[in-house]
Amino acid sequence: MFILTTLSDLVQISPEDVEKPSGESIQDNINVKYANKVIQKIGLCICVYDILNASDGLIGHGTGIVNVNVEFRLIVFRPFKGEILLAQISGASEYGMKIRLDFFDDIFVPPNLMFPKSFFNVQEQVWTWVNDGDEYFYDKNEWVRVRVEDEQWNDISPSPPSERGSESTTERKSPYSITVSPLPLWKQDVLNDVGFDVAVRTWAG
Amino acid sequence: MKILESQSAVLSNYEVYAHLTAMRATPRTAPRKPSNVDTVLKELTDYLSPPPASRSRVPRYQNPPYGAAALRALVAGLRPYDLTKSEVLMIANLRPEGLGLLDCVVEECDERFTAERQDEIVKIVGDVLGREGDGDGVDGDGVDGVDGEGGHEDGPV
Repeated sequence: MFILTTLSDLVQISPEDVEKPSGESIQDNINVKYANKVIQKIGLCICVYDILNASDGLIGHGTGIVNVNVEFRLIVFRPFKGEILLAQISGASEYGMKIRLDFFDDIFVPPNLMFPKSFFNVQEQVWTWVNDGDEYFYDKNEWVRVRVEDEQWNDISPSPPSERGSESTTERKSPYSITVSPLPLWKQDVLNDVGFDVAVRTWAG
Repeated sequence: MKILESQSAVLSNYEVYAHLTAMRATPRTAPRKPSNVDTVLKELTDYLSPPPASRSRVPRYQNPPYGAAALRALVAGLRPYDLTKSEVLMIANLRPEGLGLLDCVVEECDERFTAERQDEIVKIVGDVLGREGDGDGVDGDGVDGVDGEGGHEDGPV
């Protein structure tokens, strides 16, 4: 699910942060800039993993800002194609099922990737899988295992007003979304004797 | 911003969790200003925490409280089976306890491994990472091992 990506960037430390140890303020600056944001074709940035290299700080005229060139590694969320994730169903419609992780919401199952003999149950508003005459419901908030099939990138950097059409106000696309297919295991593994409300197991320490 | 290397390494869920925990434990000179990093760290910690600490109701068998020692033991234990890196990574993250999930994780599992070999893999995973519902022994050992190492490192420095 997670990878490390090496980046280099110019970090600007403002005067009020100078009293902090430089490692700390560099790290904070990078986190503010990158954390919880998507870089196109890289993935969702989580936070700094480590700092590899930093140049001397240079102070420009007039501002007092310290400019440092930093090479660092980021933890990035980027599941690979074919990876199996454990995620939670967050919604369903006839266009497919929406699935989320706690920190990432844009995961979809399109109808053509559902199991054969699945259908959208309009009364219950859930996808239903018919197997051997039994109906299995993909209830909301259920945990499912899914396999990553595809990823979509949408560059949503702002465009100049002249290029924006009148339709620009309608929909907001997410910068990074993942298409997945369900695995045939969700029922047995998730529900059988792994009730959520059973007292939690305790362990040493 | 310049991307020097888009994928320098792959991290398992446990390694990310360990990094987040260590980050929280590091003393700071000044409190951090609230920012978007707090959001993602909180949500990610919820997803990766072992159950008692997790607030996201991840099923109990996910995120076993094993340590870095257990991860190394897993990689060593699975070496004779000639699994790919991504398969080992998924095994470490998902901890398959039955042949059903193993079959999904390992590509063409039935052709590459006989039934006994598959059972062996599941057994190794269970022995090293602990099983759902079994005692605290295996899990505890892994965690203790890491704590012990940390203690030794602190001493001489």
